[in-house]
Amino acid sequence: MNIIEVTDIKKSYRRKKVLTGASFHATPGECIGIVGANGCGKSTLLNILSGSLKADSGQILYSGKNPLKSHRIFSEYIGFVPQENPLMNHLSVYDNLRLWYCDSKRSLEDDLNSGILAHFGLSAYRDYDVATLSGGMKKRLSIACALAKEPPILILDEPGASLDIVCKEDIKNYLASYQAQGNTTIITSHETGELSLCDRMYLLQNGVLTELYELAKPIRQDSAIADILLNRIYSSIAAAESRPD
Amino acid sequence: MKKSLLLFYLRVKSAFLSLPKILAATAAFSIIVTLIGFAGTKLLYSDDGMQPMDVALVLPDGSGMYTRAAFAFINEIDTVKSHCSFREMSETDAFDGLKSGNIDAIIFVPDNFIEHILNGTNTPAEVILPKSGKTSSSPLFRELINAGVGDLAIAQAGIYAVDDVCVRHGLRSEISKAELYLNEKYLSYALNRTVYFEKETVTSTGSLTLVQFYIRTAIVLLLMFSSISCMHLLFREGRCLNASFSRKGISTPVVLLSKTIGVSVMFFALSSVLILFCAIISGFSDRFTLILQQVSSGLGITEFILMFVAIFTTFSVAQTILGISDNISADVVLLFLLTLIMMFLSGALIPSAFLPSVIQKISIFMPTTWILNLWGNILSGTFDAVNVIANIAVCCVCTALQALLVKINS
Repeated sequence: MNIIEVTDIKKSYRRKKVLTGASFHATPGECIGIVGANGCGKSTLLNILSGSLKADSGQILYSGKNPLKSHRIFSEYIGFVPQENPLMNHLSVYDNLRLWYCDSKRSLEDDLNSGILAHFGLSAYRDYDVATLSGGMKKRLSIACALAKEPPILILDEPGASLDIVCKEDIKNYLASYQAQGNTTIITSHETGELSLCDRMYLLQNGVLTELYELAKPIRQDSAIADILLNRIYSSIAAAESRPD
Repeated sequence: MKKSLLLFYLRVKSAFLSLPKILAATAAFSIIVTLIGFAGTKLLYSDDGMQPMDVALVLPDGSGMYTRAAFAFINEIDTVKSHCSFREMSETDAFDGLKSGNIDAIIFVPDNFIEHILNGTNTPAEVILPKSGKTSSSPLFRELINAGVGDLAIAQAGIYAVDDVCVRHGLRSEISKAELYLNEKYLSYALNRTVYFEKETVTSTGSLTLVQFYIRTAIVLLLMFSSISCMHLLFREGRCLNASFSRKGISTPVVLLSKTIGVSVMFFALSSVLILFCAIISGFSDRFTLILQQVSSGLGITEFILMFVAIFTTFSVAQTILGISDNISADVVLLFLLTLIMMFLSGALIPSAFLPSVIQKISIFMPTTWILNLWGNILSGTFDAVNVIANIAVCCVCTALQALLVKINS
């Protein structure tokens, strides 16, 4: 059974049509990559999937449940890490985590001692103000907050943007273990390194999603070939966009 | 509920963590506010508008030293000195001065003025006032002088007549008793203005003293300006964090309220500490106690509750203004300007009595009017449920507006 079933999502900003009928699905344990040019609507799609934005039309089902009927389904199923870190900057790392852990079955203290928070190195920063953290640490904290309720689906919007290699690798390793536990990940990125976890890839172009069958295998196995293929895809998008109507 | 309470707690904590920064900025703003208050008081109640009347004194030729000494003595009496300044001059100079506006009134002293007072003849002095100018702007003033002079003459004539009757009928021993009785009657009926007029104190500052009026203005201005130093605590969250809160089941109004509560609790605690500090000092200094009595008639539990409501409403208004645009600099400028405009329209900088009636009517739509009224209640130790309800209504409108702005911006 699909854990995510997205059908014909449409979204416009005033007169600009961003999504014209995006559809895809994902099964438990799968990692879905979404690529596309800047401004093609990737973040809009992820915001709709996470309940941050309302679609004009279309249907979303999480394990057959419609989150639009009950908003709690979003919080039950989705952990969302947007590009901008959703953190309270004037509070400490610990206080931020307290809020996201307050209705979680997991113990914050346990996680700080030996769980995901220790894995991300956040234990050493527990009393630091979020405003004083580096970009990489903030991203780690954002992911940790998103995972506080142990959601079965994690949505990441370009998680590695402007992060150093060590941090990217750290996040990637964690995502691999998250996926290995049977959880689903949806990720948007422009980098093959980040997309190498993906089982299937989609291209978002002209408001619709097209599955990229040719990219799925090499992106996991051969990053060099995947880079070439991804560059070709972006070149063809650029050529199509520069062509006069 | 647990999440919302935790969020409230975290906001309060966050506000207290920012305390040193906020205190420094508040101290800076308090200087600005003090300057505004000082300038306002000077503007309205400077000595310029209360200069004593220049009164020309025209003495008859050959008037004795007693007449001059009597007027010199009257001129030195404090209550007279603050209202009148007598200057001896010739009749021609006095009339020229009255025409040119240099003189506000002329008193023609009759011949043998002092002698006539002593022997009971009582020839009245003639007072001449100009048709226009500060002394004759009200015909009432002229009427009062005439009535006073007339009453005094009648009283004296009555007393002297009774004296004559007593002397004629050999009742000299009864004179002092009779004079005392007549004096009392004349003073209580003939000279007592309250028989004719109902006394009601009307001031431009309403039920507040001038000190309370400007303290109230200073408090609201200081709180509004202090919200600039708390901007990081009051400015609306980013779209992503708002969406995260929403996903977590914390609604936008709760998120917005938590911010206002955090800052309000901190300022309430600060104010309470300040009040406690003042109370302790007043235990050691009588002079300080007198100063405090001028500011407030005493604070009880009701006043503390009203104080929290007033602080909360102030920050609700400030937070709404700060949420109008996404540009922090624009919001600061907007907050500064709107605060001054609202305070002016509410009659906080210049009392409403001095403002045009249109502005007086507009003032009821200003949130600051109701906040100021509540602070007025706190300082004067009065309670007006209308002001409390109005403040709560202002908070509700502000939160709804902020939620709408968040929705529009997302």
